[in-house]
Amino acid sequence: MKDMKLFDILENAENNSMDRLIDKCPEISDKQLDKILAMSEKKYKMKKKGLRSTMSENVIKMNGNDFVEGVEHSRRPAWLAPLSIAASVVLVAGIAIGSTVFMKKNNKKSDNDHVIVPGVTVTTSTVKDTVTITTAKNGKVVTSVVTVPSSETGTMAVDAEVTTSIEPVVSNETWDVVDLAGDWQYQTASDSNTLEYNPDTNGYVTINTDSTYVYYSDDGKLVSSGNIITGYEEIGGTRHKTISFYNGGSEFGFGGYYDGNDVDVISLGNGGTARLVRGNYMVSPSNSAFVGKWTYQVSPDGFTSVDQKSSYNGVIEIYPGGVYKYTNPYGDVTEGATRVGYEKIDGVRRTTIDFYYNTEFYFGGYYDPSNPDVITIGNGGMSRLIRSEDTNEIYNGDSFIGSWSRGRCGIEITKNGDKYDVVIQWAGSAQDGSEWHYTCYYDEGSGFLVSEATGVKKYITYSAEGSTEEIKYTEGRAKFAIDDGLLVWQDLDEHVADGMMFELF
Amino acid sequence: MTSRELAAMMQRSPAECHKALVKEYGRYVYAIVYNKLRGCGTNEDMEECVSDVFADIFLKCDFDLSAENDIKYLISTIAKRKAIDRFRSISAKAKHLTDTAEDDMKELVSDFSVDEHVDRSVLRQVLLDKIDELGEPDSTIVIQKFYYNRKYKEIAQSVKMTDTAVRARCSRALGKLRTKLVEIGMTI
Repeated sequence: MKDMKLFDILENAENNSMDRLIDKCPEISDKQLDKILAMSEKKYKMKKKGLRSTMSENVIKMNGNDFVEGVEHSRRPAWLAPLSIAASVVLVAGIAIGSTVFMKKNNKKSDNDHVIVPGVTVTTSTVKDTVTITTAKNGKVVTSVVTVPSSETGTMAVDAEVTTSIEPVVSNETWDVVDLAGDWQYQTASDSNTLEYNPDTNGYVTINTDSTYVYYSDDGKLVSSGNIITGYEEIGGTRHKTISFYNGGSEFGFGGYYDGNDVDVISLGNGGTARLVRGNYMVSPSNSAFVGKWTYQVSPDGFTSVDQKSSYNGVIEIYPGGVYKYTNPYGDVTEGATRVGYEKIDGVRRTTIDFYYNTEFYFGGYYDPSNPDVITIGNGGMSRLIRSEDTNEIYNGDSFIGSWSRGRCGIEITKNGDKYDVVIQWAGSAQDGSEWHYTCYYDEGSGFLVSEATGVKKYITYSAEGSTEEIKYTEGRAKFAIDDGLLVWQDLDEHVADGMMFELF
Repeated sequence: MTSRELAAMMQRSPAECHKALVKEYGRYVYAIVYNKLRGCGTNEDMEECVSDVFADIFLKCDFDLSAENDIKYLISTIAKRKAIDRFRSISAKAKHLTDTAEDDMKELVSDFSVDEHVDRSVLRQVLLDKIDELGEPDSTIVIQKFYYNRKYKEIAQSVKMTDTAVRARCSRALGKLRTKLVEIGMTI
């Protein structure tokens, strides 16, 4: 205490002591205040500028008038800088050497790898500074002729000719042109443009399912007709479908490749200067793939995909010859014709089936052969047909017998002679509930249990004294169906169970 | 001055507002900064710190002046924090540039003592009480002379007396203070 400077204890004062010290603080001269103000303004502007730069993500720009102040000095070991430089040099050198080694390694060619097989025939000859390049058709034969003339200095008096022939691997296999049947437009590139830009029309080619073709010029004159021969070629390790058009059955007319990337394009030659583009599909596919019984499913709420959640919307039976019968959930039957065709979507041809009612389009869907038991209706994923062709064999009237339930609702179906008694109990609360009684017959045509004005609905209340019943209606109508193992109750009076599926106990 | 008054002033003229702020609170901020940096900083350090405080206050004026509160408390908080930052900066600089002797290493172990802190707080209050007992202008002369380290000439201007009178009063006031402190067991 003796050694302590007594007034030093006034430093770091708490608030009340600080107030007393502030009262006794000497006045600050105007000159000093002006100096402080000037310094404050300068710092304020710098901070504001920095803040704006940060907020606008601009880089900091300094000019000769700016300066840095208040920088703290720090000391680092003197050996740190040279060590860092040395480490950086080693790192950079390592990256450079490593990259070089890696690139050399990748550039090495083995005896068998990286052999590029040309898909075209190129003949090159050099005659008095003139180079001629000729491209032949189809890549059948690839021949390269390279002539190296004497150099002007005469030091390389070499005149060599090298001939190389590379035969594509041609398979004897063929493929069916049924998928190509239709009318095709023969397009050629105009001037120096590509085929994609305003091509010229060179005529029209009709391809028939029997592997014949007819080629007409743009003004309708017959150019050629004959047979189509298909095959495969393996070029550069890739297998291509080839198609050749023979005039009169023997003279090669033209040919090209059908790679299937776009089902409606046949590339002619290999120069990318001609092609056939399909205009119309001539032949409809067979409807045999669709024959059978299909369950019509729809999204229960209109926005959930039918793949995730579905409700029953009736049954469609498709018969050979393009006739269908649609039975909706209420048993109403619609009959009409089907029409099977193709539709091109995003370059991919898809099989379609449309359902017509009195010559008017009713609804339609898409069929994917890889998923043969589903027809997707529309594009929204809200409805579909699921194949259930064996339904009639599996389900009959007795299939309904049993106890079905969902939530508070239970359905009891029993056989009564050739009829079926259906009792439905739906609990409202502990004190009340509803009950339905139906007498149904089995309709073999639709596969439904049907009640025609036999239903009675009761409202039941329970109390300590017993239960009381109130009849809500009689002559109620209902239908019951089984869809994929679940019972569907169609209350045709109040529709209280629309969308509900009951599980068998 | 309230935030709203300041906002109105800012709308009229930011430059005038800044000037008014410095004039109004310059002494106040200086006193706070001085209190923190008295033991380690130079006059230039203190001026730098005071200008830092006002720069921050100016920035604050740009963004938030919605409250009705007296901005004195805001300025006080900014000043204290800036002064503490500056104190740490100056102390750190001093430590970086000073070779630490092996014998001094033991001092690196926590230098904060609760007992000492409380003692200093009590002593500070007692000392200020005894100085106040000297009455004006002696208490102001003593504080400005021994705490603010002002020259007699500067103090004379502050209390509006002659240099000689200030020197005489200071001498007598210090004697009185010494007596008062001896009575309670403190010595200068």
